[in-house]
Amino acid sequence: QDPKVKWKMAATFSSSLPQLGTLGKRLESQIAKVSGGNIELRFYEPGALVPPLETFDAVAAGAVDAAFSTPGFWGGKVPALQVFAALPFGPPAPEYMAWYYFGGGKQIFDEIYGKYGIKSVMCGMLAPEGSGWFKKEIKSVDDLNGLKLRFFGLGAKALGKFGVSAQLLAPPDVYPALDRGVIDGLEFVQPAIDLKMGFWQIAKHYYFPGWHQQSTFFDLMMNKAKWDALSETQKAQIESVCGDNIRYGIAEGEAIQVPALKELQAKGVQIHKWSDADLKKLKGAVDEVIAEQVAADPDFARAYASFAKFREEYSTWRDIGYLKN
Amino acid sequence: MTLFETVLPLSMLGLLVVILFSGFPVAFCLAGVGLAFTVIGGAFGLFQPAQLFLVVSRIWGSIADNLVLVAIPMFIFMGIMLERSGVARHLLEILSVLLKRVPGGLALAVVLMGTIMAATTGIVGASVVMLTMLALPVMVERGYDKGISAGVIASSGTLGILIPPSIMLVIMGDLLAIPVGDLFTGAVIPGLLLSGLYLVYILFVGLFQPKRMPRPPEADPLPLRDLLLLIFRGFVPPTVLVLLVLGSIIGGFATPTEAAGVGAFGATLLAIYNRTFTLKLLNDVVQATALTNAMIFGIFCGATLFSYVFRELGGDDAIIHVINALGLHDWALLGLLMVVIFLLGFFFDWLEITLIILPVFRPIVMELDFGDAVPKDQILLWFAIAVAVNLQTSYLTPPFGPALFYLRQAGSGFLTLADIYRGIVPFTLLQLTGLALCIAFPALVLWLPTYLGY
Amino acid sequence: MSALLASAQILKTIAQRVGQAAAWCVVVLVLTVVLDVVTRRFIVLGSTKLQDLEWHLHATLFLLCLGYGYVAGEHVRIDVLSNRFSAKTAAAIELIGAALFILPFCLVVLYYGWPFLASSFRLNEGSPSLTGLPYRWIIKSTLLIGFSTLLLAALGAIAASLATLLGSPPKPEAPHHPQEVGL
Ligand code: NA
Ligand code: NA
Repeated sequence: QDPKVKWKMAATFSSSLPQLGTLGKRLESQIAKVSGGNIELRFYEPGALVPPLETFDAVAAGAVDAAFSTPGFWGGKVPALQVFAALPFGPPAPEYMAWYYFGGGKQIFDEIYGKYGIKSVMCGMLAPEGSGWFKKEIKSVDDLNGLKLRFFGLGAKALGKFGVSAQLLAPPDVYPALDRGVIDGLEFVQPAIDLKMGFWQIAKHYYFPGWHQQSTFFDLMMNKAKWDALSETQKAQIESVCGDNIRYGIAEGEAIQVPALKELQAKGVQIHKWSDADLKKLKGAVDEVIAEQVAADPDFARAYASFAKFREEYSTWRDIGYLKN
Repeated sequence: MTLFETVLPLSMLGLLVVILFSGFPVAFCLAGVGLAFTVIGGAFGLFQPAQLFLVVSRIWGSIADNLVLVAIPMFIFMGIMLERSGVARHLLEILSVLLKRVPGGLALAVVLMGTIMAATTGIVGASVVMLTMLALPVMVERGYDKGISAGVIASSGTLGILIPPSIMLVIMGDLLAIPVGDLFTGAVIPGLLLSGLYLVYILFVGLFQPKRMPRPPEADPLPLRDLLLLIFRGFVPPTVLVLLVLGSIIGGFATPTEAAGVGAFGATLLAIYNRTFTLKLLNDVVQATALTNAMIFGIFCGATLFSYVFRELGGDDAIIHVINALGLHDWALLGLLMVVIFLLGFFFDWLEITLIILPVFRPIVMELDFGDAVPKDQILLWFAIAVAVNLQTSYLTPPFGPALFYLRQAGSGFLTLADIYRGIVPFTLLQLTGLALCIAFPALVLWLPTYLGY
Repeated sequence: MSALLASAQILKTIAQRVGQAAAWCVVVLVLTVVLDVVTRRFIVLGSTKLQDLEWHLHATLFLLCLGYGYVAGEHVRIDVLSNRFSAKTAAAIELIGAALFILPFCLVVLYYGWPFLASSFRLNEGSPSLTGLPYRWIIKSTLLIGFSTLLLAALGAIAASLATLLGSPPKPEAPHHPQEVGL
């Protein structure tokens, strides 16, 4: 009988939020069942133990045992981890997983996290995001010039090339700022989540596809020393439940968007799609940003090179293997 | 749960009360008691030294790296600048001339100012310090009862966390998965209701106990020219400032947090216009701002350590355990939760209380049955606003009453803590009255969000 | 005795001077906010950087003034009972409090703050929003500096209280609220 594992798992998203939080709660309950109660991963709300953005350091230091988040959260600390969360114009789930599990992604991932004393297991997957809520209709990307948007990460950098001014804003200010026009729009997550956040109350133009973030990996970070101390059975139990959580996340993510979209439309939200020409321009900007990141950070370069190489070769299969609608 | 596991974290609260009354700074009492219990917890294998790393994480991640709290020093700067440059005095003089026939006129003005400030910021420390700076010296000088002065300032300043925009409502929206817009609109009427209750209470006291809020002595009526001059000097500049602050938000130039900076800048311009601005004055304002701000943030640092240790030692579980052990449902459970939240308010701030209660009880509250009183799909919103109104009391109830601390420090020389403790009792009762009304008449909460069609 | 008093004075003065200088961050903060608000409509100055700078300035402001606040007696106390304590009793409480509460608090923050800072430096950590300010370790160092000044202030209070307990007459200005705020 393996010694009982009683871990605290800090979350970076509230348990009430579809997918972002509920997948973590599901992990908590499934691991208890699968291990017959031998492994307890107790979910703590963001900030209850550790503020969300401090979670990486806390796991590395062993101050919390584990955390449920997404590798993309740590772009300011370890830029390379963004390659393992979601890249602008990134791949859909099957291709992403193919690279991660069979194309060399996982080895690089383990190595990068390992440097900081963290062992991480991919543990969830989100459906593609919407690409933003706008107060006014955006006819083409040229309309973005001069807009003030609450936008983060690689996407924000790319939008900067179109004259967008990215704003941070304190959380309670976001709603009044959008309402009064201090900002013209914002990035949020996906229809099912955005419905709960209520930005449809003040912005009526919702854009797709989420070019800045397609499928998004979530992961379970664990203190490496604590992970190493687990038995093979316990490690397998965690990996299996996480694998199942990815399956669940993909299926649920695809299923819950349409009802949410219908509800949003009933509330008067207009759904827009970027034109092919716009997407091409955005892609050009993203390529520039990625090139800058590759030049700036060796780990990012290494991870991205692996990904890009896989993607290039995979395109043959994508073209012949799948029906084009 | 064993008895020991329940008693250990709760004994933290008991020790804190004793230690606080030693008169050592509150911030460090909180930290010290927290650290003492990490040692006790460690002895029983409930706490590992490595977990202390989170003290650093929490001070950094939730207090330093925080764009909301930036408004605090800027509002304090604004208040002290207005006060030291004489702008505030002119304003209050003219207000009390205009309101001299109204019983308790100055206190009414404080409630109105607090309500307006609440619409521009959600930061209680900032509002209380500013109202104290502006109004307390004049109230005391006019012979206002110290208790009433303290109570009205503390409670009006606390409205900021209820009346939108409010960081508390945003965090509650996250924890409960309710749109922020619903919470913001739902909180408007309850916020104004509290403000109204304060006004009514003050009028009542002013009418029946006029000695506690004496009217200004009946001076010879001012010649019209002097009156107009007084109005121009005393009323116009601060009105311009208020318009600047509110206008920058409504006009879409600044966020509510940034409006604090606009206000601080505007107050400095007013001092220059008032010809009282000197480098020495600026230095005085800067130093006083830094000290008051350090006091507020010292409490934040100590409180985050204390709450963290309480949680690690199983304090949340102990509370949830006690609530569940009573096995109540529907109205009785709602009542119990409100009592628990009120009691937790004696020791913790809103953030920790919401983290203890909301995630656990969200699914339970959603399934409660309140008959025809509240539609099923609005229970959570109604519950959230009731919690928010209840949390107003947490700022006023001793021993850990942040509004009391801010008032005590900014009003030192005028007030003792005993005055303050005496003064907040009626206002806490008014807050509980407001809570009872919101629960008895859910429409107070739900009408506006429904009307706006969300 | 006089050595105790002199060292108390030096320690407190250091904390005070650091705080007095850091206090001016509030002026820069206000100007930064106004600059962002005024220019945002017209040119892209990089609001993310300015908004990062806002909380950087504020972190510096409150952390570096923690010790200053203690020296100035500005940290609020529940003094309903302690008003009645004798000077010796008050000094004993100050001694115990500074030694058992403030010192361990500072030591915990400094001990665990060091790897926190070192990791940020090693990673060359920047803003998670990517368009914000780089070199997070610079601002994170204010945590250590701030708690160091608080530590010095506490040591100063310990020395001063010891001197009082050993018989030196208490200084005329009590540490509580020397500054009259409000008039
Ligand atoms: Na507010
Ligand atoms: Na309280």
